[in-house]
Order: sequence, then structure tokens, then C-alpha cells
Amino acid sequence: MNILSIGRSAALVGIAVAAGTLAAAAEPASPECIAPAQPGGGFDITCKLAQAALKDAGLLADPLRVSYMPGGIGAVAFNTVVGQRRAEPGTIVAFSAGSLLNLSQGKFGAYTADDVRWVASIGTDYGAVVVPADSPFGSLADLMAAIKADPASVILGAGGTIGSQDWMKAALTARAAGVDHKAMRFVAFEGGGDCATALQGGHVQVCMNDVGDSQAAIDGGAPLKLLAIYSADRLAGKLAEIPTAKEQGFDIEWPIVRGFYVGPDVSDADYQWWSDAFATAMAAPGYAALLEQRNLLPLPMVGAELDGFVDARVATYRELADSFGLVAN
Amino acid sequence: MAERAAKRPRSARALWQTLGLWIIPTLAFLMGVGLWLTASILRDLADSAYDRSLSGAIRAIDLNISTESGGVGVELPYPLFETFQATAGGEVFFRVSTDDRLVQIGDALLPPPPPLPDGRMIFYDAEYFGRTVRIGAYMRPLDAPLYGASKAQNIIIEVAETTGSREAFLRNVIGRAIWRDVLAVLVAGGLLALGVHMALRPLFALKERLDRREPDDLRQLDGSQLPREVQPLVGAMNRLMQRSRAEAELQRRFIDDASHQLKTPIAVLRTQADYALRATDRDAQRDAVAAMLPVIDRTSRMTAQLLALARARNGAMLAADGVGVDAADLLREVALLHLPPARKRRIMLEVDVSEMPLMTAATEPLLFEAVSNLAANALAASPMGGRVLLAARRAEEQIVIEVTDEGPGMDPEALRIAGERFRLARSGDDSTGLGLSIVLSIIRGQGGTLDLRNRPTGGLAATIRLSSASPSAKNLSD
Repeated sequence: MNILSIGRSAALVGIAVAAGTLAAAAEPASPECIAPAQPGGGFDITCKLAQAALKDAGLLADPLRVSYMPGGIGAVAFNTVVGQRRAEPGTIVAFSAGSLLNLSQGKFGAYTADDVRWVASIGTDYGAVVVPADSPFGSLADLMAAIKADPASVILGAGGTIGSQDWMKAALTARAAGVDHKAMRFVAFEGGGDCATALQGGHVQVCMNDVGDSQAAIDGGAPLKLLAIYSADRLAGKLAEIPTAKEQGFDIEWPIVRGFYVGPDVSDADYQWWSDAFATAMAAPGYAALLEQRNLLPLPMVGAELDGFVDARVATYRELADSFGLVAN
Repeated sequence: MAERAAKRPRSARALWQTLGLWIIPTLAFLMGVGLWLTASILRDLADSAYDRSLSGAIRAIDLNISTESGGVGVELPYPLFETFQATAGGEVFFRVSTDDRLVQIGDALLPPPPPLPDGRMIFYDAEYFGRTVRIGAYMRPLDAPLYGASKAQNIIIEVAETTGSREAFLRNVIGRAIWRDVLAVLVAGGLLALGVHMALRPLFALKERLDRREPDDLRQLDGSQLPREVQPLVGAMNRLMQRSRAEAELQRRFIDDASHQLKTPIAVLRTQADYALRATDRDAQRDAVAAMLPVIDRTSRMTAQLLALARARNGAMLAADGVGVDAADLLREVALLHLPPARKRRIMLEVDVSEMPLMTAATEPLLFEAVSNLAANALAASPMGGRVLLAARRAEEQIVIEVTDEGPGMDPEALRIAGERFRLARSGDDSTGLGLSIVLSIIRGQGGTLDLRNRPTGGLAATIRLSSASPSAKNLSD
């Protein structure tokens, strides 16, 4: 599963952009961040992080407005920006590793990763297995044993449908446990937020969510717990108690890059303004705290570096989807 | 009837069994068909009722789909399902998707829907994780196209429900319908048995009345209290009893008459025997015994005639033997028998037969007896040197036998009562008075007629008309 791990070194490079280079372009009017899901999920967190970071760095006169455009975990927003709102300088759209996985399978319509301009990655998250606090499942192994015994008895919830990254995490885990991934009962939601809601209502037994949105819900008082995190090593801080999937015998890592893109017809100047603004914000001293609050790890990339990263990930994801017979789509 | 009963001895089945065998299976079959119809109607009704709640769920989800953000916002339908499941008692699944396949929310693994009509819900059964589910599916175009597409995408809402609850409902309702029908058949059977019992009660009462009767009680039965269907039977029984009574009456009269007729000659014989015993003179004794001989002869003749009369009556009760009798032959034989007495008195006994043969439907010994009686009467009535004619001819479908003499004939009163026993047709001869009575009995028994008339030229003509021989000679009527 090494193909999925992102070099931790990426976090340490590419922040060479100086704060003074910003003067070149004017700030775009009515800046907006589209979170392409229902509120409360990873995209929401991504937009909120940008909102806070850009505000803290004093880069925007108008506050960054966060809007929600649910539909196919980013598919509708991607199609909107590529088709209808191609040249809006003030509009950035949140993406994640899941968006790249969907792009690799053609789930965003007829478009590819080259149809938008990738602005910045602002951090990385990890996949997590979330269950209610009073769940009978104490470990990932318990969960898999229950699914193996009676696939219909466990309903897995996830942001996105078959082939999405949440489904992919479940399928990889099932494969590692020797369970037929096609036998899993699977309910799709429009983002991790809805899944967490359904989890608390008892409508699903497990959510294949992310650390960021799950821990945010737990911090907000939701009676949930994490069974496993798909990272190479245990995370720091309060998440240090949560075992990795690897520790529990499932050798799977699922880092989730989070960032933004803009429409293909946004001018170079505006594109550059956004790149520079994010580089500046991520270099600010308070940024590490903002990441930590949201249980994210740093992964600051902009410009050509990000383009290269995106291309590499899409290629890797396509191979993975192929192995599950999903690309025929 | 007796023959048919003998051929099918097993047909003596009770009335309630016959009725039950016809009615109960028919009733059960009708009930079965009715149940089948009821079940399919109930299934349709249950489906439409349960489908209505599915369609309510679909409408509620549809109301919570928003495209204001530019995306497709679907509010989670779980709170809705909780009330829905509370009433339906099953498990509910849903899927909301767009036909461009970008959006898919809910139970992603529900089987794909069939081609959907626009704006109209359809319902179908399917399998989902090994369970039968009823799915309602609905497709409509979104209010506005997403992401600036030229045409608005269709949104597809599917809500599925496990069918356990509706199956249980159907089992319950159909089970109750089955019990109701089984009960109805049982009640119908019971009512049938009771009805038959009640309907037959007057018949049992009739049987009791008959059983209690004295053996010689041949009074008419009162059938007015009996069911209408049975009244013809009672009528037939009454007619039978009427005949029996008439027969018994005839018999009684016969015995009465016979003993009366025999009493006189026996009394005469007794007197003569007494006289003979008392007489001391041998010649007187001899004369007395000689005087007994004619009386004995006459009594003997009368006994023979009584026997013939009894046989004629019995013959009338029997069916004709079906073998035709040749009247021409018969006349010749009768003539042969009576030739000696005729010669003795120089009477000309002639036989005139128009054709040969003249087959008639009759019983030969009886007809012979009848004609012989008429011939004897004619000879007795004829004066010395007279002429007696026995003739036979065919007249249409009848054979006519005529015996004529040249005697004094009969007075009108005697003609009127001719045939009644012991009425002496002609006085002054040694006739027993039984002759004509026997003839009349025989001829009536054979289905014929006897006609007596005085000839204009003097003498009596006795005419017998019998149907000519045919296999279908019916003799028993009248």
C-alpha cells in the first residue's frame, strides 16, 4: 500500500513563496469558497480553514464566503465550474483525494484533472472508521468479523457512492479481511456530515469517514468513536490513542489531500493571486494551530508542484480503481 | 321400478348423501374460486394501500430536494422513515440519483430501476440482500439544469420497503377468509342435513301411519300434509290400494256367490240322499240316486265354471303372454268340442272364417274358454234342428268373433245386466248363470269388448272384438 502514502517530506518543501510578492494582482471581488457537499463534512472543513487562514493573514478585505453545492461529492460543483462558471476569479472550490479518485474513474462527467486550475493544497487528512460511542464493535477486526458472518447485518455509510474514496477504504479493508466487497451493504451520503448524522440516528452502523470531520463532530459533542485511522503511524495529540488500521492487521494507508481549484478560464493574474495568498497564509505562524484545531497535517503545495502531485495521484488512483473493476465506467 | 332397483342395488343412497354429494363439492369449488378471487383482489388492495405509503415517502423526499445551491441538496429522509417504519413495520431503503449518474445517495446497491415514465410513480417487487422488497420509483426533471447543462437532468427517487408486513397482513386476511368459507360450507352442510330431515319428517309420519294400520285396512291415504313432490307417489299408492280393494271386493263377492250357489245343490243332494236312505223299496232307492246324478253333474259343471272364472280374473291381472292366437283355429277347435251335443239335438254347428289366419292378441286358454261358453249358451238356446254359427273376420285393426243362434234371444232387461254373475240369461235351462260373467271377465281382461244383441231375424248374436295381434298388445289397462 505504499503507493498511497504521501511523502511526509512534501510538507516541508515548496513554501518558498515570500509574503511580499502579493502586491502584483488585485484581490478578487466577492470571494467565495464552494464546499461541494452538505455542511459538516471534509469540504466544509477545508473551506472554513481557508476562511480562517486568509482572514488571520489579513489577505482579504471581504470575508471568504462559504457556500454549499452538494451533488455527487464534488461532481456537480466540478461540472458547474468547468461548464457554467469557468471564469469567476473570486470562486475557489474545495477538493480532496476523493475528488481525484472520482476524476480518475470518469465520475465527474466527461472532464479530466486538466480541465481546472489547481490552486493549492492546504493540508492532509486521513481516512477513519467511525462508529457510535456505544457500538458493539471495539476494533476493525470485530467489524470485519461481523460483516464476514452476516454481510446484511452491518450497514456501512459513506460520503459518495460505489467507487468513491470512502467506499474504496471499506473495499480495501474488506479485501484485506478476506470479505467479498460486493457483499457489503453500503449507503451513500452527500459527504461525511450526513453520514455522521445517520450514524447517530442508528440508520447506519459504521461511517467510512475522515479524521478531520469525525473528530470535529466528536469535539462538538457527538457520541461517536474512532475504530481506526488509515495512517502510517499514530497521529499526535488526542488522536494518539486511536490505533492505526495497520496496527490492527489491515495494511492500508489512506491520506486525504485537501485543497482548492478554480475555473479553467480564470486569468493567470487571479490564479496567481490565489496561489500567492495561500502560500502566504500557510507560512503564517498561526497556521499550524489552525491545522491542529481541525486535526489536519500540513501539506502545503501550490502551482506546478501541485499539478504534478495531482497528475501522479490520478494515475495511482486509476490503477487502484482498475483493480476493483471500476474504471469501465 | 323393481327391476331398476335390482340392477343398481347400491343406488339406495340416503337423500342427504345424494344432495350432499352434489352440493358440497360444488359449494367447495365455488368457495375456492371465490377465495382465489378474494386473494388476488386483497393483494391488489394491500399493494395499493402499502404503495400509497411508499408514494407518500417518495413525495416527502421529493419535497426536500433542493437545487437552490446549484447542486442537488437532499435532506436525509431518516426522520421520515422512522414514522413510516413505525406504521409499516418493515425496513425502508431509499436511493436518490440523477440520470447523468453524477449524484447517487442512499442505498447504492438497490437493483437498478426499470425504464421509468416521466412524472409518474411505478411500483415493482425486487430482491435486496436476499429479501423481497417492494420498490416505488419516481422520476422527474429537476427544476433547473445543473452546472449549466442544456437540459435539466432527471432526478430518480426510489423508496423500497421489505414486504414482511404486507405479507403478514395478507396472510391474516386471507386466513380469515378461508376460515369464514370453511365455516360457511360446514353450516351449509348442516343446514342441508337438517332441511332434508325436516322435509322428510311427514314421510316418516306417513310410514308410521301405514305401519300401524290393520292388514286389511285399505282406506285412502291423506297426502295433503305431504310435500308436493311426494303427492304423486301417494296418489299412485292410493290408486293401487283402490284396485286392491276392488279386487278384494270382487273376491269376497265371488266366494259369497260361489258358496251361495253351491249351497242349494248340496242341500238338494242331501235331501235326496236322505230320501234314498229312508226308502225301503229298492226301486225307489235307485230312482232317488238316479235323480241325484243330474244335480251332481250340474254342480260339477258349476265348479268347473267357477274355476274358470277365477282363472279368468287372475288372467286379467297377468300380462298377455304375447303369443298371438289364431281365431280361425280356435273356432274350429271349439266347434269340434261342441259337435257331439249339437248332433244329439240335430243342431247345425257351422264355422265361418273369412281368412286364415286371424291372429289376435289374447291368451289362448282363456279365449277358448270364453268362446266355448258362448257356443255352449248358443247350443243350449237353439231349438232342435236349429243353426249355430261361429264366425271370425278382420275389421280394420280388430278381430271380430261372432256367435249367433236361432233361439229366443234375450229380453232387454236381461241384455242390460248381462255379465253379472248368477243372473240367468235365459230361464228354463240348466245354465249355471256363470257363463256370460266368465266371458265378460275374460274379454275385458284381454282388452276386448263383448256385445250382445238380438238379431232382427230372431236369435242372439254375441260379438267379441279383440285387437289384432301385434307385439304391443296392451291388456292390462282398465
